[in-house]
Amino acid sequence: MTTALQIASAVNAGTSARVAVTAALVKAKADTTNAIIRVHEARALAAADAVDARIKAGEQLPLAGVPIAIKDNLNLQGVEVTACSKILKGYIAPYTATAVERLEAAGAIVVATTNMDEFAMGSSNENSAYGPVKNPVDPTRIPGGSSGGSAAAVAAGIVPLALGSDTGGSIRQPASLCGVVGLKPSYGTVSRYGLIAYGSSLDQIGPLSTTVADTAVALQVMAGKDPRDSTSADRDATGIGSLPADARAALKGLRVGYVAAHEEGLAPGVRARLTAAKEALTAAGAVLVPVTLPHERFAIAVYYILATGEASSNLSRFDGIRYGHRTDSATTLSEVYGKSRVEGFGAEVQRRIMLGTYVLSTGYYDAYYKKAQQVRRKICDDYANAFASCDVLLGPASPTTAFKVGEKTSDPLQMYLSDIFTIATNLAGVPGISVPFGTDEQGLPVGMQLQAPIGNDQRLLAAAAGIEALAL
Amino acid sequence: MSEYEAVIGLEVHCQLATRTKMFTGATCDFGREPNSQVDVVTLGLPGALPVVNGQAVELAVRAALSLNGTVAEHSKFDRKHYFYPDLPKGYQISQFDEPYCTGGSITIELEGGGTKVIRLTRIHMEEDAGKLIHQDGGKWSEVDLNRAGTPLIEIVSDPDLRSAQEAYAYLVELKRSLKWVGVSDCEMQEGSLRCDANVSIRPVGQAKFGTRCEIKNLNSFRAVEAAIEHEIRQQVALHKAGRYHEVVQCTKLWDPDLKTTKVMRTKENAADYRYFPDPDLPALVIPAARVEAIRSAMPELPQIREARFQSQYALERAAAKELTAESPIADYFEALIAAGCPAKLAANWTREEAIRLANDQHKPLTVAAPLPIMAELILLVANNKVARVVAKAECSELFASGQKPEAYFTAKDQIQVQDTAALAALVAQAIAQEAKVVEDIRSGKLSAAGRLVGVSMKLSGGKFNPNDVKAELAKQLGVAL
Amino acid sequence: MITDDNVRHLAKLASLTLDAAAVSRMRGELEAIVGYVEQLSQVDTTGVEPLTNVSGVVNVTRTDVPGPLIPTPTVLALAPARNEVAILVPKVVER
Repeated sequence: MTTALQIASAVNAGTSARVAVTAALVKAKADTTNAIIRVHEARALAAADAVDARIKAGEQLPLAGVPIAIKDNLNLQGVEVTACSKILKGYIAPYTATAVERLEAAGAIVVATTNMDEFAMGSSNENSAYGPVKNPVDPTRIPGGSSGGSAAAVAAGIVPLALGSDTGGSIRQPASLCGVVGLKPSYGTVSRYGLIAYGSSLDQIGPLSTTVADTAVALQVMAGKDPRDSTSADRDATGIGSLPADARAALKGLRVGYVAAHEEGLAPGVRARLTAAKEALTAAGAVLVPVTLPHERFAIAVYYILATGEASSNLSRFDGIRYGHRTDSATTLSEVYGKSRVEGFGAEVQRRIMLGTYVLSTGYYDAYYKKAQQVRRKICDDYANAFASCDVLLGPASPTTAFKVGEKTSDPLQMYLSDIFTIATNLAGVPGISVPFGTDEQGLPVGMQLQAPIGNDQRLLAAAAGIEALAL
Repeated sequence: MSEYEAVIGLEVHCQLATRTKMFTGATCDFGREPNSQVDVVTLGLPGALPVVNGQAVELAVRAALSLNGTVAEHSKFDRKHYFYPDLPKGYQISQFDEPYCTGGSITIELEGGGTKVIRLTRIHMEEDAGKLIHQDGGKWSEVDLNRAGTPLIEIVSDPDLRSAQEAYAYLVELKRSLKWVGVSDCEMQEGSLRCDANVSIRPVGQAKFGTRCEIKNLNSFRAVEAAIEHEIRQQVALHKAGRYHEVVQCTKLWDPDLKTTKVMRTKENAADYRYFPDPDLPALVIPAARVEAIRSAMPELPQIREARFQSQYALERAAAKELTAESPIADYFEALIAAGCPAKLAANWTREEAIRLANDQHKPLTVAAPLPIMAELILLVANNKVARVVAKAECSELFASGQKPEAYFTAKDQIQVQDTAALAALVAQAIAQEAKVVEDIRSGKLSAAGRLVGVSMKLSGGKFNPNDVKAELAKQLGVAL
Repeated sequence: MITDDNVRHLAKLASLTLDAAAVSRMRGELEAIVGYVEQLSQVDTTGVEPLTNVSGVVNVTRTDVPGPLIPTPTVLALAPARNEVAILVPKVVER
């Protein structure tokens, strides 16, 4: 599989951008996993020509001619963007998200839009108005979610690089289940302007690709303060994507924290790979340090209060008035609202809106939303304490490998519990990455997750490159 | 009515005079084509994010200082949720439990004399909604989002007002303060100032507040006064008739044509706004040093300047108040003094002539009545070179001519002369002409002197100061006049 | 304990027209999830300041300078119902 860096190198050296883009378009149109929901052929070919012109004019671009796919919750001017929801059917975005703008400015070319769980609410990509996505490794299984489409598109070799979003694990978990690299940057590192908001204090856009090196370049291009996003951090992004020359050697002396409790409840195949990862790290000179995150067991509860509260608010704008779907069976204004929203939102989305409304409502706010914000602070403190004695944290990205289609859809709570290892990352705002580390006994991919202190994305990528080297 | 006391509180929404909206760079001008000031954030598109307008914060702090409020070092923005077509996001960004300003006061003059301090509860920042226009007879309403997102401050008074007249005075003084420091134009007709009134009554001496009613759709200060008056009368009548239980907590709309109110919604329908801190907006920190910097850059407040005009220039309160109604007037007045004009004359000519010319021409004072010309005119009158009545009569034509006053009056031969010999000769001539009048004066009819003065003035072509003429007359006749 | 009335009230606040079956189903689902998140009451949070945002920034502002607009025709083209100048909604009884 050709990497993004290999393509960029060729295009910068004079190969036409049309080559890789055309190949990607062919594969996108032939996709059988349902990862791809929209192909932007004309737009992509025009963009390829524009990149060729820039190269001819003497420019060298970090992602020259790299075909990419973007999750359906990222605004891209002139194309339909729906968050895989019926309520945004027909919405043609009049602007482009900052992160996508930056990638395009760096020479990347958007060839397709990928499938996702509706409004990023899900862990299996089974909640989409466009139908479920199949895991390319085993089409009877789910790819994970909510960025299931982006993970599958990369795993199936359609594009070398795709964008996803991560609110409670939506990049890292599908990356683990599909066997690709998936990064959630530190909160505030990549601008959220143009990302359809789910949990505003948790969301981050991030890259999925086949190598840590590709991931690093993508982050370097996207990272940095955006005046259009008030939560965008003041952190200097210089060198954020610079990897050590010898990733394995850089592991020497690295203090790798691990939480003993994370070994409980793991599928045997996942536990085996976790053990292997720890042994390999030790052999490479890293130091394993036991740490605890005492309040991590409350992370799912905190998340499902804060994320749904924020989501119920963020999704108030989908009302059938100014864009998207409006019911055609309304005669009064309140019918426009009530019917448009119930016709437009899927079951999981409606459930989370209701839950979010509940936790924000008068009489319940203090006991739920405010309480969750307080526990969140304690989780942040736990991370700070843990990082006092280690440089990065290591653990599994998911308790299982890819489960069967339909296996967890009957009980929403069961599905929520599969986010157990990735959710606290978003609560603390720290960066997290899933790196493929072999397979289980059935050949299903297992990903190792690394986390670093907030703002230490460069350190995280270096450690990830090390793990990647050990996995080979 | 005297057995009852009205208790009134006012909530005033004031649009800040910024170029762009509270949380985005779309402009917020008044009177533009519908939906022509809309951007990603205004439209509430998926993926839109708010960014605070720094100038709005600056003006908000000025407003707080001009109203004696306390600016909080820490405040935050909250989301207030409800569904309505003029509210694009389905929530309004406002401030709930940590407003940027608490306390404050407005001092009003009471009709019977004396002043009263009306306390403010708080002031907070928020964004305005768009406009919903109801088509007559059609089945649709139109949504115009031009106004959506315009920066507002909401000024909430304590329920210290006790009459509709006090409420009117409060609004006049509020507008004076806010307009003075450049916070807003405060024009109710243009929607940059809106007012809701909360009204209740109670028997005099009762400590407990009565049931209050909120009145909306008040489009002028007079409408506020009339609506409050109407509501008080209604509530008192019900109480007197033993039907006070019919006064329920509700919101009413004022009908300016019918001059009545109608109920819009009662408390049971009140919404749960589900306030929570906006996760898209960081906290607002306004340190004391910044507040002081803003304070020292502000002009002298109108109340201070009004008091200084009384003490420094020995002006009456009414004059001082008129001269500080707006800062251009006060500046104009003091510029005249700087040019050498005596205070009383400067005050009189500013209030009576300059303001009249400016209003007639719909132009600023300095354009309708340029300072150098006005100063020269006043000095001519002060030095007795032009008679006051003549100056007043010729004022409009003088300014229309664009000529300098000395030249103008010289051309019209209206410059008063100080030549004592000529004056004596003229008066002598008048005495010689009017023997009968002289006889009347000598026989005690001192009032007849006025006629002789008139005759002298006519002979002189109005060039002598009437007081000088009268003195010369008295001297020549040997009579005290 | 979440009742059908609770659910109907929430649905009204959230502008979701749920039929009786949906209300009933939602009641059960919400009750299970709320039952799960109740565990937070076990955590001692005395004196703990609620956390609204992790990015650590304050006072992010912009200058009062006009930015890009969406042209009126584009604004109207996005709307499900419109005339030449405005977005249309079914006639509203005064709020």
